[in-house]
Amino acid sequence: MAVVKTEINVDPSEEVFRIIEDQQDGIDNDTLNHLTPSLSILERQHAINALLADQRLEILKQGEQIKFRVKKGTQLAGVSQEEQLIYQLVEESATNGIWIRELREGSGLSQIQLRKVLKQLETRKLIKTVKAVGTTRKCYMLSQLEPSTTLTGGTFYSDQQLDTELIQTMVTLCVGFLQARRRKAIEEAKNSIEMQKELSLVRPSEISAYIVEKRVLKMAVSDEDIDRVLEVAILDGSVERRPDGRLRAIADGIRTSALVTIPCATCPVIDDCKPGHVISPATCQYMKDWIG
Amino acid sequence: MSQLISLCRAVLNEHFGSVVGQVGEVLLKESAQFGILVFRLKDKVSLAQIRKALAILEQHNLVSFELVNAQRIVYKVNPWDVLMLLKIPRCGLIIKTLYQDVAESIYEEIIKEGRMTLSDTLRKMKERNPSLSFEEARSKFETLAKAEFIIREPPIDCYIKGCPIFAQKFEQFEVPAVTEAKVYLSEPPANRKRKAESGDSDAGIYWKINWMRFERYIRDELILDQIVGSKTNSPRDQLFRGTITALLKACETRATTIFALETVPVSLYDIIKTANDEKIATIEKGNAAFVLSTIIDESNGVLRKIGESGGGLYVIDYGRGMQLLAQSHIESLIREQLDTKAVRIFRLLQRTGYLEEEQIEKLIMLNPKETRELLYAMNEENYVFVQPLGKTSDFAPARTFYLYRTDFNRTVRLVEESTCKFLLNLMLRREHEEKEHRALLDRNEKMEAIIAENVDNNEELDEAARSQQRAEIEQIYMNDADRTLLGRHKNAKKKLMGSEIEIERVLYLLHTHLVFAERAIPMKKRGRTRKPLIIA
Repeated sequence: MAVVKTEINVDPSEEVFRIIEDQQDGIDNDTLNHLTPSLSILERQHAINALLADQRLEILKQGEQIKFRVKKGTQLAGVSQEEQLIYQLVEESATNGIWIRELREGSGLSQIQLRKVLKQLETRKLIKTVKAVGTTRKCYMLSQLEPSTTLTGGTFYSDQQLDTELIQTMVTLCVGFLQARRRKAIEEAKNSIEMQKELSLVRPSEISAYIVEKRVLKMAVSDEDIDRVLEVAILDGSVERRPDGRLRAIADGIRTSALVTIPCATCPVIDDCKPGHVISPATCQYMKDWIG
Repeated sequence: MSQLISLCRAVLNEHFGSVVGQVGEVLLKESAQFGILVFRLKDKVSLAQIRKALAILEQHNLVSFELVNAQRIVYKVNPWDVLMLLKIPRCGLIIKTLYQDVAESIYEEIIKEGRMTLSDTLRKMKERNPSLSFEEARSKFETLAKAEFIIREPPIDCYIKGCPIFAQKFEQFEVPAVTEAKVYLSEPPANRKRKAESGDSDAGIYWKINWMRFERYIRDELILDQIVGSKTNSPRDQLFRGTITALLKACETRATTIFALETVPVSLYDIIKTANDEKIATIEKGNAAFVLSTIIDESNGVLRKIGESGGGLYVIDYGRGMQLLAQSHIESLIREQLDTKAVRIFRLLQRTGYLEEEQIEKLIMLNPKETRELLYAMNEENYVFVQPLGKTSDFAPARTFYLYRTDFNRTVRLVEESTCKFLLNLMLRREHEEKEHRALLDRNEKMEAIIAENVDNNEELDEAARSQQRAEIEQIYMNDADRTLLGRHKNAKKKLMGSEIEIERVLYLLHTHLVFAERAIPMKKRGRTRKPLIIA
C-alpha cells in the first residue's frame, strides 16, 4: 500500500514526464500505459495535455504510431507548432543534414504543408539547403552550420562537385616542386649521380608544408589528401615512390610513340576505311592534310 | 589477322608484282599443296605464272616447303618473313654504318637476287664499280659472313619424291676460297640456264641475308634506347650508352637463339674488355660498375645483376624491355586517342587488377561522369575490358558487379592488328600519290635524262653556258606550277616513307613483345584464366 500512497502524492504530469524523459527516442501510448499503471486513463490524458500545453512534450508520428517525446533544442519565438517541429528535426540532424523524405516521415506533415513550412523557415534564414555529393538529394540543415565532409566529399569538392581543376593544380604543384628539387640536386652535385639521387628525394610532409605555404587551398589539407594527389602523380608516371615513402621526380616519363604521328591512329572512321571504298586511304582528307 | 595478310599482300605486290601477291596471299591464309594453290587461283592466274611466282618466292626465301607423310609437299608463307622486306632500307643503313659502302653494295646485290654465290657477287661488284679491287670485295664479303649478317643456304642432302631434303649440319658462315683469276675469267656462257653448271669453284654454295641477325641487331638497338634513352651527347649519356652497348656486344658473340628471353650472363670484366677491344668506349672498372648499378636502379628490371663472379654478372631481360617499350607505345596511343586521364586509369588497372567504376573514380580523383565516359571509350577501343560478376545467377544488372580490368597482351595484339592497317594505309596512299603524279614524274625523269646527256656530259660548255642551257630545258619541260607540284609530291612521299619505316619499327616491336610474352608463360599455365580479385 505504501507504493500506491507515494505515487498518489506525486503529480501525475511529473510522473509521466519522468518516464518519457528516460526514453530518448520517444515512447508510444501503449508503453506509457504499461509503465504508469497507477494512473487512470483520464489522469494520464490530463497530464499529457498539460505537458503539451507547457511545451515540455511533443508528439511524433512514425508510420501509424504516435509517440511522445521530451521536447529538446531551441524554442523559436512566434512560430507555429509545425515550424517548431521541423526546425527541431533539422536541428537534430546537425551537420549531416536531413533529407526531405525523412522530414516528412518524422513530422507526419503532408507534402504541401511541409513545403510551406520549409519555405517559411528558409525565408527567415533559419535553415538552408545543401546538396550532397554523389546524389541529387537536397538536405536541410541549420543555416549557421558548415556541412560535414561526408556531405561535401572533403577537401577536393567545391559546390558539391569534385574540383578537377583544383586537383590538377595540386598535381602540377607537387610535380613542379619535386622537379625543382631534382634540378637543384643535379646542379648541386654535378659529379655524383648518387648524391643527385639522394638529394632529389623528398618526404611527403615537405610537400604538404609547401602546399600549405602556397595557399592554394582555402582550408587545411591533411596528409592523406596530399597522399591521394601524389598517388595520382605516380599514376601519371611523373613521380616515383621509393620503398621508404620518399618521392622523386622522374626525368621525362613521356615518350611520344611513332604511332600517333600519323592521322590513322586518331582517325574516327578508321573502321570504315577500306581500299576502294567511299572512305579509303587514297581519298582520305585527313591524310591529304597531313602530307600537305 | 586479316589486316596482317592484306599488308603482306601489299608488300609482295610492291616488291614482286601482283601475281606473286596473289599466290602469296593464298599461301599466307593456309599452307597448301601445289594442287590446292592452283585450284584457289583458278581462272585468275595461269599455271605457268603460278609456277613462276612460287619460284620467285622460293628464290627470296619467302616460302617454305616440307614433305608431309613422305608424300605431299606443302608450301607455306610466314607473314613475318614477308614483312622483313620492309626492313630492307633500315638494314641497308645498318650495314652501311657498320661496314661502309662496299658491304652495302654486296647487301644490295644479295637482296636483289635473293641468293647468290660468292663468285657471282664478286662479278656483280666488278660490274658496278670496275675500280674496286678483288681483294677488298672478297674481304668485305667475308666480314659480313663472319658477323653473320649473311648466311649460307643449306646444301641439298638428297631428294625424296622430288622434294629436296636439306642437310642439317654444315658450316653456316664459312666462306669458300676463290681466286681472282678464276672468278673474273670464267665469264658465263651467253645462254647459261643453270648456275650450277658454271665452272666456279664455289658453284652451288649460295648465300642469303641472315634476317635473324638483323632482327637481333634491331632488337638490341631498341633495348639500348629503352635503357639509356636516345638523348644528348653529354659524357654521362655516352658513358651509359657505351657500357650497355658493350654489354650487348659481349652477348652477341655468345648469343644462343634470338628467342632467348634474356642475354647470357656477362661479367663486368667481359664488358670492359669488349668495350676496349671493339673500341666502343674506354671504360674504367669503377665507372662501369657504378653505371651498371645506376641503370639497375632505374631500368625497371630490364638490367639485372645475378651474381658476383668476375666483378659481377649482368643480364638484360629482353622480355621485360620489350614489354616496357610496348607499354610506352600503348600509353602514347591512349593519350592521343582519349586523354591523359585515360592513361591514369589504364595504369591503375594494370597495378590493381579488378576494380569497380566507383573505386576507379575515387582512386584517380575524377568525377563520376568523366570516369564513366573514359571507361566506356577505353572499353570500346579495347584498352580495358569488363568482367561482370553476378551476385545472383540471373545476372540482373542491379545485382551484378561490373569489374574493369586490363589485359595487356590482348590489347597489344589488337593494337598490332590496327598497326598493320595503319602501315597498309600509308603504303596505299603512297601508291596512290605515285599514280596520281605519274605523268609529271615521267616528264621529270625525261628532263633529267636530257640534262644529264646533253648538258652535264658536254665537254665543250663552260659553267655559265651549262646552267643557262639547263634552265632552258627545265623551262621547256616544266612550268612553275608543275615544279611546285613536283616538290610537294616529293615531300609527301618522303613523309609517307619515313612514317612507314617508323611504323614498321613499332609493328616489329609489338610483335616481338608478343613472341616473348608467349614464351614467358610456362606451358602448363597457358589457357588458364586468372581468378578475379575483389578489392574492397
